Amino acid sequence: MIIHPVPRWIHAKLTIPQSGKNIRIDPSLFANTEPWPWNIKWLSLVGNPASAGGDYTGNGGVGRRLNFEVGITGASDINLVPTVGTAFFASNKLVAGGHNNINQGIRHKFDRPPILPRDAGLIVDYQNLGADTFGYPAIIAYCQGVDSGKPVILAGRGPASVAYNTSSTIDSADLMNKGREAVYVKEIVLDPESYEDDNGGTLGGVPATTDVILDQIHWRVNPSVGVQWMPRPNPIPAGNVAPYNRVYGDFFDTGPRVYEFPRGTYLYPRQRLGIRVSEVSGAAQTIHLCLYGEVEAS
Amino acid sequence: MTKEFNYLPFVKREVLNIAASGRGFVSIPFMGRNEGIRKIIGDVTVYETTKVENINMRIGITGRGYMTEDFYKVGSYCNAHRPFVQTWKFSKPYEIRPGQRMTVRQTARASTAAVKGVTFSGLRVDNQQPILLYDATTEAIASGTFFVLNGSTLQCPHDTPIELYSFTSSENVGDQSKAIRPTVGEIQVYGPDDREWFEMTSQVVPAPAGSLAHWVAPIVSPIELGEERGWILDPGQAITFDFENDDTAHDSNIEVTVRGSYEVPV
Repeated sequence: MIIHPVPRWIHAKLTIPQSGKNIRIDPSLFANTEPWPWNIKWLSLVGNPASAGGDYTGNGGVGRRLNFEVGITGASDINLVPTVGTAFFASNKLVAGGHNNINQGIRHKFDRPPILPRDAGLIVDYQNLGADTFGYPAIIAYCQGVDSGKPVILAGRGPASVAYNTSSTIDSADLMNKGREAVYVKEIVLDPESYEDDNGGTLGGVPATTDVILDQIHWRVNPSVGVQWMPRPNPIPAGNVAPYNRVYGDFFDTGPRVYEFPRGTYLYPRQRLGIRVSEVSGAAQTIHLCLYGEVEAS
Repeated sequence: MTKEFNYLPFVKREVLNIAASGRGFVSIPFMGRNEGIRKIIGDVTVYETTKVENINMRIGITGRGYMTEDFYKVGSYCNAHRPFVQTWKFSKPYEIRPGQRMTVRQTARASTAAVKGVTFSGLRVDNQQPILLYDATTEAIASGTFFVLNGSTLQCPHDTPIELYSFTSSENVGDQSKAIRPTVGEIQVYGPDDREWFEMTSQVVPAPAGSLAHWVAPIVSPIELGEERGWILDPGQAITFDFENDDTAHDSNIEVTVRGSYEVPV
């Protein structure tokens, strides 16, 4: 049996009420609805603290204010010790900070690269839920020919700058695999064109808009054929899609954080991830959670 | 165990000026090293002093055309971050043999005088134990002064070849809060065959980057290509870059730096 790993992102936007209330995430949300096992890799958290008061900027921000419990059905619904978000989402990997004048994108590398057949392509949607207008979002996908091993680049750029609350589709001939063979998609780079500092800011200064973009520019990337990568209709915040990217000064407030599941953690068909979140400080919080893994299609 | 290939690190740099609203093209041809030698393209850095957000680009390989039909922002290609320290990890380990010695020539460009040093991190081939080749000045070097490091601690030990995996210079450039790295000293590294790693054909130098600086730790985020994405050039092939300057008022000085390894039969 040949396994074709397919990346799968599932995103949930949650509003956690004030202190003393728990949120149980909809049981169907992080369920494996495919007929194949889903090798889950990580759970990412992005949040923008509702209040700028207090000392959240240097002390854990939204993560510090939340308690998390996570478990897989079949073992016990909630089987991990409740842990404050700052500890739970402490990344196991050293994440380099990006900060320069190059308007850089954020990247996601695939552990086991999915295959894009010839004459297939990527379909990319984006949405701006932030207050600022941004540039022309672009995607670059670094690929490699399955048979020849030769490099291939797929790319596309949005048709217009993105005003608040608008969305669009990137429709580009460059996003099609026009070659004579299938390609492995090794890595995608999502560039909202204002991710870094240089959105009108001064070079060398602390980025003013950086954090916001990770939380408010949303993306959806799917292949034009086959099993979908992001099957739900809503695009996913950039920071949730590719959480192993940070910028100088983002701390924990809107900068993405990741809980990495132990290697070999699976959600089998009809199993689900149970999550309970509780707020430990005063104000209600809106957060974005995203579960990522590889569906082992066969 | 006899190896089939050795992997010689190289750094190639080209600079070009593009007029306002203009187009520019540069091909990095690996002159003189085409005969039967494949090149692994490790990463690429595109630097423009102030207007990089106005530069669009596409990448190609001679004989295969460009990878995309359209041009995309330089930043859209960037998939790596600047390293915290001034270290270059090679695409493939570079083997040197007993008695061979590395040489480094450098200027101290920092504002204050300091002791300067370099390190090559490697593994002994016989027992896979780690080994460092290193050297440092014994006294503080004044800013702008050239010095050479080629002491016995930069020499391969007599009893085994070693594989080098990375090169580090002690110049402190890791401040992530700076949009552009502080100016570092110029560094030249010579292998045992006296071949300098850094190859630059043009004498045009865009300010403020030094002509021989900023290749160990790129000044802006690099574009990682590498063997894992298939970026191995066959003999005779060159990597090509096509640029477009969006800015209608200003010309641009662009500096393209390609790092990688020559696959050399041994």
